[in-house]
Amino acid sequence: MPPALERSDPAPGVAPDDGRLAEVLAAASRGDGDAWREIVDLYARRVFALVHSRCRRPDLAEEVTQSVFVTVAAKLSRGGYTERGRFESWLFRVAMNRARDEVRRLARQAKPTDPSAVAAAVDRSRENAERTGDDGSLEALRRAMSSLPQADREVIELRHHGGLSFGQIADLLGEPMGTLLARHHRALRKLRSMIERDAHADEEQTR
Amino acid sequence: MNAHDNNEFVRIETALDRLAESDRAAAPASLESNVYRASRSSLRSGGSARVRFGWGLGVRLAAAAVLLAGTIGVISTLNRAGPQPTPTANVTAAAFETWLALDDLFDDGFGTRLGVVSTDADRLAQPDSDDWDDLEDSL
Repeated sequence: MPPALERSDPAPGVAPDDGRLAEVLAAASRGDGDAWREIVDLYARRVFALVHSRCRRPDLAEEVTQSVFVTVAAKLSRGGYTERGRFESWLFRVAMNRARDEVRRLARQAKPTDPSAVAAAVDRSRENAERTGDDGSLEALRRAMSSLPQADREVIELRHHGGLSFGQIADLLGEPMGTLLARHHRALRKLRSMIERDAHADEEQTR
Repeated sequence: MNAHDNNEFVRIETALDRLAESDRAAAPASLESNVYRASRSSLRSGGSARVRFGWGLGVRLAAAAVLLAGTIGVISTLNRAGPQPTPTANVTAAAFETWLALDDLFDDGFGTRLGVVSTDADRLAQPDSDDWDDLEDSL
């Protein structure tokens, strides 16, 4: 068992040391349970956040997170992880694809909204807002996020929910760094204008 | 981009970090344990499950055994039938046909190369064949 990895700060750009991560991955791929636990501890919550941002259902987000790690574990054991030094990009590519599939599946299975489900969602949202001390600005931001084009939204989510660096995101999406940075900047601008528009609308309503 | 814009973007990025934190906080406290429990067995079985024997492979192996038995039968018959114009070439061609059939069963592209060898064997079976140079090239 290699030396324990420090749990990384999920903030963007902070990643565990590549050498130690490679050691832990190698141990996990040989079936070392402690090493695998390190990997799960390090990334499960970030993958969960990414999926939850899409589906807004904790139960489903957990199910998808589990399926992502089952896939990754099986691939590691079979030697299916061949992108040495790019584990995070690989993991979050699997997670992003799975999240997309789930959102599509949910959209296909969409049924007329049950009033009790709406009430439950409102309660969940309120509880979440109380827990995080949200004054409503996070919900406004979430609404704005859901209006972003898919490609812009992915960059924002991989950066903030996944905690990936711009280099890792460029690698994951197969885009040049310049294109990616421009897209990130454009997404921030769109978010800002949508939030401002929302705020103006609220002001108009309260007058 | 002016300083005001820059401050605005920093403010939005800070809010996005808070949003991500709230999404992480929506996970149950037992998330890591649940994920570990769900995925641990895949890690253990993944290495030993490289080759999975299912019905598909079983049926193909049985068919391969039947084809091999047939080949042995053909070779025995040819050997018992007395002198032939080119018995070795006939036997070899029969064996290659079997290999081709086996190769089709396992579908790994090996059939193309065996096909070339089989054609060469046919040409060798003809007494007036002078294709030794071509054969050498193809090998």
